[in-house]
Amino acid sequence: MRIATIGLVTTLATLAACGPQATYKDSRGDDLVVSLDQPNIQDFNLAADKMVQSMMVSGVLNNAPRKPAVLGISRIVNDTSSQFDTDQLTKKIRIALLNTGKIEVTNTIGLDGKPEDPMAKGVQDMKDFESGRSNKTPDLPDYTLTAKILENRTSAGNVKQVSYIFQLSLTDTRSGRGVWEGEETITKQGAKNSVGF
Amino acid sequence: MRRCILPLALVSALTACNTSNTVVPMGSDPGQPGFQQVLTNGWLNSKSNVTDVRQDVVSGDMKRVQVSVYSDQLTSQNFSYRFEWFDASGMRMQGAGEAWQSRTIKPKETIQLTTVAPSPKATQWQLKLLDTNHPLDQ
Repeated sequence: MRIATIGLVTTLATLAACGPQATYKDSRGDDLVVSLDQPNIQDFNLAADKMVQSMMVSGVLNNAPRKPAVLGISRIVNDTSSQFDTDQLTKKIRIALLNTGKIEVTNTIGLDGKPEDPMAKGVQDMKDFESGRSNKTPDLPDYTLTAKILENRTSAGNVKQVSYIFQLSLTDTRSGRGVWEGEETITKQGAKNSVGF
Repeated sequence: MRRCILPLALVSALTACNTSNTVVPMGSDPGQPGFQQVLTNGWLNSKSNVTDVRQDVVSGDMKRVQVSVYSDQLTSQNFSYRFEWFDASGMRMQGAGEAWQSRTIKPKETIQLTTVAPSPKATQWQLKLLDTNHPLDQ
């Protein structure tokens, strides 16, 4: 019996030492890696979902000068200690807003005069020139979106806690005033990174 | 050997119990439609029992849902959930609003889970609840 027990324990220990093999995961699933040193993909998913829902609940887009309203993406600031592309947040928000049918995003007017899609801007200019409308006012956004991502860290003993604070502001370009603001804080706590909730 | 098999069998049996519960709206009242629960996990239901479902419309044409959840446990518990949306044809609308979220619920507390449809075309929904704090993990 002792030999069988030792054999079973040895087999289990060997299997455990090998570690799990790489597998594909549902990017919106509940068994993804949770990190304490950087925002995870599920943090961006959750923040984007909550922000867009908050904007819809506010009903602010019901007052848009046209439907769908045109949105310009303004400054997006990553003020955390992690380096990541802020499109991980903004693209999700853009997709979700487009799906509502209440907003379209301009790709030919960008921050500091740089269009996000230079080719679209060139084609638009060419079409305006050919139709003799090259002096017309461009299709200006009705709203602009700014965002900031902040980080707050603390610890007690070996338990670490990190909060990522996602702040968004929607400005009505007619008045220059903020007409909606949203903040979503995602807090993670633990001694080390883990898998799943 | 028998001493090893018993704990292993117990572990696998308890792990297998961690299945999801599903809530779908029923009935004709658009504001308080009633609901049906598909329960496959009794332990999960004891700490996230759905007691009320309400619906309204925001931003003109976007459905909003609020589900009240009650815990009958005597200690704080965790569970995770997500809403899934479907169009009028019953086709799944993937994308926004689908991230799993984790919630803590205090003893004998009722909390509200809310969501907004990802699109005006999203007319049907279901809520999935999943255990994130199985007794075995405590």
